[in-house]
Amino acid sequence: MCDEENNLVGDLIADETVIYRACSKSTFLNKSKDTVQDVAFYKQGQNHKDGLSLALSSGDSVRHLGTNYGVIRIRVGDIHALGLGLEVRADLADPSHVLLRNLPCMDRTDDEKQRALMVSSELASLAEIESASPVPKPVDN
Amino acid sequence: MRNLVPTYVIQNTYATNSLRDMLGFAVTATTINKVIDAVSESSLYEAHEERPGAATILGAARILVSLKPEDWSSVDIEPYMGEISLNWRNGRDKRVKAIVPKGGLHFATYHEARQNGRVVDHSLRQGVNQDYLAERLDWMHAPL
Repeated sequence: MCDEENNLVGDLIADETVIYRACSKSTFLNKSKDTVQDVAFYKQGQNHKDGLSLALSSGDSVRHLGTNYGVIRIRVGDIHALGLGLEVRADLADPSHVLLRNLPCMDRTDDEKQRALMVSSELASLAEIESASPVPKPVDN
Repeated sequence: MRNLVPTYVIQNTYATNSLRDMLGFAVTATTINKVIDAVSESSLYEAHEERPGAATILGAARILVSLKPEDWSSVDIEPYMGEISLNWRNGRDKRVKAIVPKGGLHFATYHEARQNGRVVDHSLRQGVNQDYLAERLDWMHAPL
């Protein structure tokens, strides 16, 4: 696993929580926009040093993106129930942000990439589409 | 990126001496265009994400021209961090992916089988050839 940083990683998120991931590119959904693709859960160790980013609301998931192509959602309990060692934890630096930890990386060894392809496939099959079109950023007061 | 096809065809046209060769070059050019079209849209990339280079595109096309027509036409081509993935699915139960890395000289395959919604078999194999990919695709098309 390539979560190199543990600073500001908080408690496990409750299983009944639904979390959201913004589609930062169109390939997170298939061409007919009715299925989540495994690329939505690919992790690059050099880009995601503390885990894969998700959020507690659809709006919060797109807050830091210039462009998004929709939002997907997944239930925390479904991730933990996979039995693959994955953990969803709070980000102590941002209460709206959560981290998917222990996800294997795509950019390290072949063994880890093989596992990353399998785990991302399992996650994609559990995920659902919240919005297949761009979600507006929330307006901060 | 579209300039790739005329250059590739012109460089090889001097060797064309039969209808079969000409058809072969036409298929190759069509395949290169198919790959280029599949990786061209900006929506396929995150900001600052590396795009596949010409050698990677040619590597993907080289794989595709070696396949059966039904596998050629059913492929889903997807760029990722400078690589190109060629993806095939048989419903929700089986899938095969050919991963063409930067440079396009060698490639890897990943295959996966599911039962009752869970992955029950998966393997990533590096440095494979077109024959191995064809074998994996035959496996994918066969019932579980």
